[in-house]
Amino acid sequence: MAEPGVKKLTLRDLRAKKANGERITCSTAYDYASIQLAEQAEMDILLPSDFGIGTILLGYATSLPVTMEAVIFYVEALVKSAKRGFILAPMPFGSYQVSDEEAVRNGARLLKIGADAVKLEGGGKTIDRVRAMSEVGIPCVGHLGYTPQLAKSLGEERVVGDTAEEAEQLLRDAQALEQAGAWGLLLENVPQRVAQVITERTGLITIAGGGTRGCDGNMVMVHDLVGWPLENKPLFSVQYANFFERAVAALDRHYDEVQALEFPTAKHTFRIPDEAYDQFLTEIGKE
Amino acid sequence: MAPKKVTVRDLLALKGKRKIINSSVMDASMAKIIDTSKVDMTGAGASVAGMIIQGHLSPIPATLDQVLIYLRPIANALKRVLMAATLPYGTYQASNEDTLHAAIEYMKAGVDSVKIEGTGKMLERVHALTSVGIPCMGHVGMAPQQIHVTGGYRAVGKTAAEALAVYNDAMALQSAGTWIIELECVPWRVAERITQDLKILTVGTGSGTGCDAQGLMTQDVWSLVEPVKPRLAKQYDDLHTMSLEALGRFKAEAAAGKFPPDDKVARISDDEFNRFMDKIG
Repeated sequence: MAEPGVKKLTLRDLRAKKANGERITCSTAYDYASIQLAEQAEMDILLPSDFGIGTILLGYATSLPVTMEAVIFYVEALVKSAKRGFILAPMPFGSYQVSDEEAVRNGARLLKIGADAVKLEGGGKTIDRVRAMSEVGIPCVGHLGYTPQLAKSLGEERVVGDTAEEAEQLLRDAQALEQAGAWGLLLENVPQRVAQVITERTGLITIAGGGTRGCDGNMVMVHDLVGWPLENKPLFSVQYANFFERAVAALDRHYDEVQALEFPTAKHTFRIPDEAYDQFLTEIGKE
Repeated sequence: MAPKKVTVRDLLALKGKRKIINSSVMDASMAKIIDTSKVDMTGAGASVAGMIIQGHLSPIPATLDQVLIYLRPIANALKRVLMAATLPYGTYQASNEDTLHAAIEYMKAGVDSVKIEGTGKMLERVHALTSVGIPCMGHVGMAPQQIHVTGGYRAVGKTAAEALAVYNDAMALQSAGTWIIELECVPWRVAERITQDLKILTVGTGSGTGCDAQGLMTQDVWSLVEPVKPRLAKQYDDLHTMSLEALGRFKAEAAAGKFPPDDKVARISDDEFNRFMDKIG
C-alpha cells in the first residue's frame, strides 16, 4: 500500500538501477515480520518464493504442492504491508504449464491482487507462456539454472551450466525469454562466468540466486540467511545468524521465568480496585 | 525416538503442578522451533492468518480457506506440541452446523483442539462440539474477534459487575464442556479466583501469574516485529535486529560483488568455459 513519503519501486526504477550500475537486491518475504524486515533493509524486490512457501512455510519436500491460493495468501500480505519494495509473485507449479490461456489467467489474478510482476521457471514451453503474458501486459521474469519446480527432472540440486553445452543452452534460453518479452531473469546455481556472459549478451535485468554471482542483482532466501531450521538446506546455503538456536533459547527462558513466577509481573497485567474486588467476592459468595 | 505428543489429558493433569506455556505458530518452520523448545501448546488460528501473516489490525478478516493453507503443514511439523486453533470469524457464529463443519475441517487438518470466542449463544456451539468429541477451548475477557462490540482492545473485569460476568462466563463454558479457557486482559486477582474455582485450565494473556497457563505471542518473545513492544508482552531476545544485521551484511557484500562468499559460488572449469565461448562466438 502506498504511503506518503515512501516511493514504491517500479520496473523503471529497477532499469535505472541497472543502467547506473547500482546493485539490485531481492529478498524473500511472506508474512508481516519478514516483509517488515525486508522493507527496513530496503530490499528492492520482495519475492514470496514458491520454493520457500513449499519447503519452509508449509514443510513439503519440494515447491510442487504449492497452490495459487497459497501464493495469493502471501502476495496479499505483501501488498498490504510493503510500502517500497517491488512485489515479484512466483507462478506456482501447475499454474502455467498447461496452456497460454491458463498462464495468462493466473498471471492476471496475481496482478489483480497487487503483484508488480510474475516469475516463471524454465525454458521450453515457458518461453511461449512468457510471450503470451507479455503480449497482454503482464510483466514477466524468467528463472533458469537449477529451478526447483523442475527438480523431478533435474535430479538432486547441482550446478547447472558448468559444461559448455549446458552453458550454451542457458544463454539461448535467456535470449529466447528476452525476445518473448521477459524483462528479468533469476539465475540459480549458475557459474559466475556464465552468468556474466548472460548478463552482457542480453538486456535482461539478471538476478543471482543461490550460488550465483555476476548478475545485476542478488537474491537471498532470508530464512536460510538468518538460520531458521530448514529441512532442505540449499547446496550453496549462506548463513549469517543462528535464528534457530536463539529462538529456542528465548522460548525456554520464557518457560523458566513463568515457572519461577517471574513473568508476568504487575506491569504485564491489570488491577481491579480493592472495593470492586471485594464486591465481586461477595457476589460469588467467596468473601 | 519420536517425542510423545502432548494431549489434552496430559495438560489437564498439570493443573496445580506446574505452569503450561502456550505460544503462537505461523508456519511449519516455526513449528519446528516451537517443538524443539519447552513450549507445551500452540495456536495457529484466525489471529495468525489475519494479523501475524497478513498484517490486519484484528483477526476478523481471516477466512477458513486461508487458515487451512498452513494448518495441516503446521500440524504435520508438530511432533510433540499440542495445537489449539481458533476458528475464523464467521465460521461459528451463525449455527451449530456451521461450527461443526468448520471444526471438522480443522480436526481433519490435524488440529488437537478448536477454540471459539465468547459466551451466550457460543455455549451451545461449545456443547455441539464437545458432544461429538471435538475438544474445545473457550475465550473470555477481551475477545479479539469482538473488538467492534467491546470498543477496541482493553481490560475486561475492572468493575465488580464485569468481573462477575467474566467469572460466570468461565463457569458456564466449563459446564458446556470446554477443557481450557483463555482469559485475556482480565485483572490478575479476578483471573486467579476464576482459576481456583475451575476444574479445567485457564490460559492467561495479560491476566497475571494466577492462571494455569501463560499465553504469549511467539513474535513478541523473539521481538520479531520492531518497534512494536506490547506492554503485556516480554521480549526475551531481539531476533529482528539480528535478522536485520544479517540482511545488511548481504546487502553490503552484494554491492561489493562479494555475495555469495567465495566458497559458495558455482564454478565452471576454464576448459568448459573456453569451449562455451567458442560455441557462442
